Parts: sequence; C-alpha cells; structure tokens
Amino acid sequence: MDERALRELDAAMARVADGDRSACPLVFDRLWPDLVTFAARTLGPGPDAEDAAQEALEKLFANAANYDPHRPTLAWALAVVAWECKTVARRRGRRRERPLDDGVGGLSDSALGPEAAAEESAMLDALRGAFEALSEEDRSTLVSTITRDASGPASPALRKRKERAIERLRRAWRRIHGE
Amino acid sequence: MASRRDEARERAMRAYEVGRAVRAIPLAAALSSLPIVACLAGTGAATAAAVGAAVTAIVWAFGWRGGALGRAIGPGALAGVVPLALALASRSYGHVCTGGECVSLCIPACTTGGLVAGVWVARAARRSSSRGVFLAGASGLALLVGSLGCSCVGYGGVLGLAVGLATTAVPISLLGRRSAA
Repeated sequence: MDERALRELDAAMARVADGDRSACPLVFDRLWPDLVTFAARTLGPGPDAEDAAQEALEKLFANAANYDPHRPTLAWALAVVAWECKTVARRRGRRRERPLDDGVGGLSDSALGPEAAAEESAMLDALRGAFEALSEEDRSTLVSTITRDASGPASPALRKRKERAIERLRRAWRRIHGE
Repeated sequence: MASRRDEARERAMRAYEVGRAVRAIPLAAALSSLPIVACLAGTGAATAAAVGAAVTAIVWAFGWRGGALGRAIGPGALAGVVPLALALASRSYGHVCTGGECVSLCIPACTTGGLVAGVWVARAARRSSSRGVFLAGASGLALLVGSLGCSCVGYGGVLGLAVGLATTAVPISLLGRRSAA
C-alpha cells in the first residue's frame, strides 16, 4: 500500500470508529489481501492463513470503536494477525505433540494418503531438528536409552538423565513450533 | 476465494455491531443511576422507573449508533441535569407565598433550566458536522433527563422544560448556522 492508500485507510478507520457503517467495507477490502498474504507467509498458504486473517479482522472490527487515530491502521491490523498466526501455530503444535503410544502405529502405516504422508515427513523433519538442537550428552542419553538391552533395569542416574533429556527435547520441539 | 472473503466480511461486520453494542452498555448503565437519585430526592418511583428506562435505552441506542447521536450523549445528559437539579431544589424549597396565594417554584425552575439547557445544547451542536441530528438527539435526551425532576407538578413542569429548551436551542443554532454561512 502506498502513502496515499495508507492515509485513506486511516481516515476510513476513523469513520468506522465513529460509527459510519458505510466505511466498513472499504476498510475490510483494503486490509483483507494484506492480512491473508502476511498470514500465508507465516503459516504457509491454505485455509489456516485465511482463518488467521478472518479472526484478526473480526477482532479488529469488534474493537474498532477503540481505534486510536494517532496509530496507523495497517500496523495495528498486522499486529493482530501476527498474534492470530501465533495462536494457529500453537494449535498446530499441540495437535502434533501427542503421547508416544498414541497413534505410533499410524506412523508406519503404508496406507497413508499423500497429504498425511507429507505431514508425517514434515513431522519427522521437525523431530530431527528438535533432536539436533539437544546437547551431545542429551542425544547420547536418549540413544542409549532406546538401544540398551531392555531386560536390565536402568540405573537411577540414567533414568534421571533420560527424564531431563526428554524434557529438553519437548521444549526444543515447542520452540520450533512457535509456542 | 470470493465466498470465503464474503463470509469473513459478514463475520467482521457482525463483530463490529456486537462490539459497538457492548461498548455502549457501561455509559447507559452509569446514567441509569439518575432515576435512582431523582427517586431519592422525591420523584415518584413509577415516573422515575419509566423515564429512567427510556433514558437508559436511548443512551444505549445513541452509543451503539455512534456518529452525531453518540456525540450528543454527553452534552444532552449534562444539559438535562440543569433542569433536573433546579426542579429537585425547588421541590425541597417548597412553595412561595405572596399575600393569599402560594405558588410552586417547579414550573419556573424547569422553564429556567430548559432555557439554560437549550443554550448548552445549541452551543455544543455548533461543533458537530450533522448539526440537526445532534441537536435533536441532545435536546431529546436533555428533555428526558430533566423530566426526572420536572414531573414535580405533572406535565406542567415538563412542558415548561420543553418550551425553555426550544426557546433557546432553536434560535441559537439557527444563528450559528447563519454566521457560519
């Protein structure tokens, strides 16, 4: 948006704040493409980006009467949609962060459709990324836990190191997925 | 894409109307204390309740609508407090007796209050772009608020208030329009 369009947007938003309903479609039509583009760059193209833009515009219009005319409308709208993108990303992260014994069988299910297979591949990449973010000690603890002879009991020290390593892996996962 | 956008626009408009409706509630609730004050100062409970309900509803509607009507709330309510206060004061003062006759001060108090309220409302209307709407809204609200006290002698007090309001509000706003032109 150029300077003139930004000024017109701010003027229209001030009218909306004052109660002029005729200015509402103008504000919406000016903001919708920019918010969808921003959300698509943050979340990837698709329905999630449109959801985030829609939620952001609903919140913007619900609070339109509180609009501060000294504040640029576009900056306000982008701040709101950034927050909505964060919420969507957090929701996505929670959907993927399932307990290990819930749905593990599905990971090796060769009957997965292409969409699910792509999601599985993305998830494994993300898991690899989180694993590589751990320290050398945490990585070797987790590897030795997985590969050691399961018939023997783990020592208390190993159990403790394993718990800490898993907790750090969980935190690394959440950092990557934007909590 | 177009239908998704249309759906988003509809939802945004609904959120806008709900947001305005909710935002108008606190001010309407605050002004709903006026009938309580009037009732404690001697206005009949039924009158205070009925007029108070009308004041609350109108303030909420003006606040939700916004624009000139929204801006008329403050000046209209404040202007109406003048005849309300004068009427309640005259009630507590009682009657003025001269010779063999005693007269209530309610009608003169309400008329005087109406004159002052009319000046206040007309001066406030000068700053508004939709002067006619502002004047009508603020005058109507001032009349209702003033009526909380000016019902002291039935409709006579309210009529005095209305005459006082019209006597000053209309000419001053017309004068303002002529000098602006």
